[in-house]
Amino acid sequence: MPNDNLVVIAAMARKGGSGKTTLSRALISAAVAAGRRVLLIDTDSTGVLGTWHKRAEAAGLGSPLLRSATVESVGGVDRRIEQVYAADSADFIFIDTAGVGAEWSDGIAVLADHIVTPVMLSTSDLDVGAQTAEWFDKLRARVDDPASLPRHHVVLNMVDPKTTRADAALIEAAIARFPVVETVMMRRNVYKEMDEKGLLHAVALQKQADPNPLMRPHVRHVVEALEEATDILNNILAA
Amino acid sequence: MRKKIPTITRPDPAYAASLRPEVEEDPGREEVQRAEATPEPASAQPVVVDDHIAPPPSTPPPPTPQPTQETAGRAAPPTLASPTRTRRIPATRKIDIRVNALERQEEALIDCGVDPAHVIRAALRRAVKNWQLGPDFIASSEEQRTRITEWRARTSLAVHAGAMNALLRAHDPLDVLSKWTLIRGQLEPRVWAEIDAILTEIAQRAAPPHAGEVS
Repeated sequence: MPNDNLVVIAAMARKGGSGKTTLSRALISAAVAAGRRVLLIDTDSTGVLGTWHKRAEAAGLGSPLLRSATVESVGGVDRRIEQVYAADSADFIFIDTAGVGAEWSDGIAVLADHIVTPVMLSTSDLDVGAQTAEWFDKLRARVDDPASLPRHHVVLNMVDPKTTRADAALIEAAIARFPVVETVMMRRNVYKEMDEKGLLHAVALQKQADPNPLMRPHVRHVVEALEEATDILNNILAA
Repeated sequence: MRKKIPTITRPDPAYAASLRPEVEEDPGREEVQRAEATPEPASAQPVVVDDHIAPPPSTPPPPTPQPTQETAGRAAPPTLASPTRTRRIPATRKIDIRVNALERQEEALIDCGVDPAHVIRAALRRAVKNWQLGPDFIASSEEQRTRITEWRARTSLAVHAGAMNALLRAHDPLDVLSKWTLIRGQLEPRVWAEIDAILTEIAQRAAPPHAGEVS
């Protein structure tokens, strides 16, 4: 039976280094932690997300619920989504893309149910984020059925826990310019650990089971990050 | 049922814009050559770009063709003491031109013993060697051109873009005429004069040595 509840989320931005892959890892972690089956599709030629999945599997910090695929064309992404849909082999598909504006951007965008764009808190990052938002707005006028386009969400990324007045002003500016997700993604050291090791909940379980009792309190940071990612994912799905 | 995939009706080239691999050509109607690597010294005279290399005729020897900038550069390559460097030369515009002899020159061209097409091409090279397009329009001559189209020299000529633009502004603001129409009044008389000069040179060389001397 086809899976009519399949959700396809594409991380897209015109700028490299904006945090697409980190956001993808966090959202994948949240979906898997919630018991959902996930396929990640890495379309970035650097293959960072696919490599991360292999690393996580090798370290025992992956999950049987998570599979990955590397696809090199928009048509390949379309076919893979259709296969997953028809075979009901996943509940979520996360597509990670390269940080550029390209001709394939349109092709990926129309396939997704949601597009998420991470934007860091700086004037330049907001400007580039605005370019992505503007591209998506214009896409409505360039398709035959704008109602079938995905929803666009902007996630404010790498927000410092100690928010300054300047940060607050930038957040206000971002809210005025973009469809900003209510929950922001904080700057966290645990994301480095997630990159190095694997899924957040697997990292949390590993810390919880650490024979060194001094390491066990550190699980709190991982759980906070996981809760944050779950909030972001729920905000995206609720929109 | 999986959601409907909307069809993209047109691209967004601005979003996908990137560095271009080559220098973009002038969006105008003709090619503008902005800069090129040339050995020092270099002149800004017009350059004839031949459509083909004419084979040398057998007998009698043709007038020595004047070297173009390109051939001059090859003949005297820059040495280490005078290195080649990239320099900016005046912007030029490439014009497609067609030159032929006059009807009155037909007989002499046929009788000169050299392929008339070669004579006309050599005359064109000489005519543009030290010539600059002027900004003032000169109407095309009423003199009758030859009807022998096989002789016609068709090539492209790089002329000063500023002068060309001045001619366009003054005489063809709507850009409906060919560029050749705008410049032929300046160039054709020079070519015809050079044809006459070459025919004279050929006749002098063909004349027997010491002709007219009393032994």
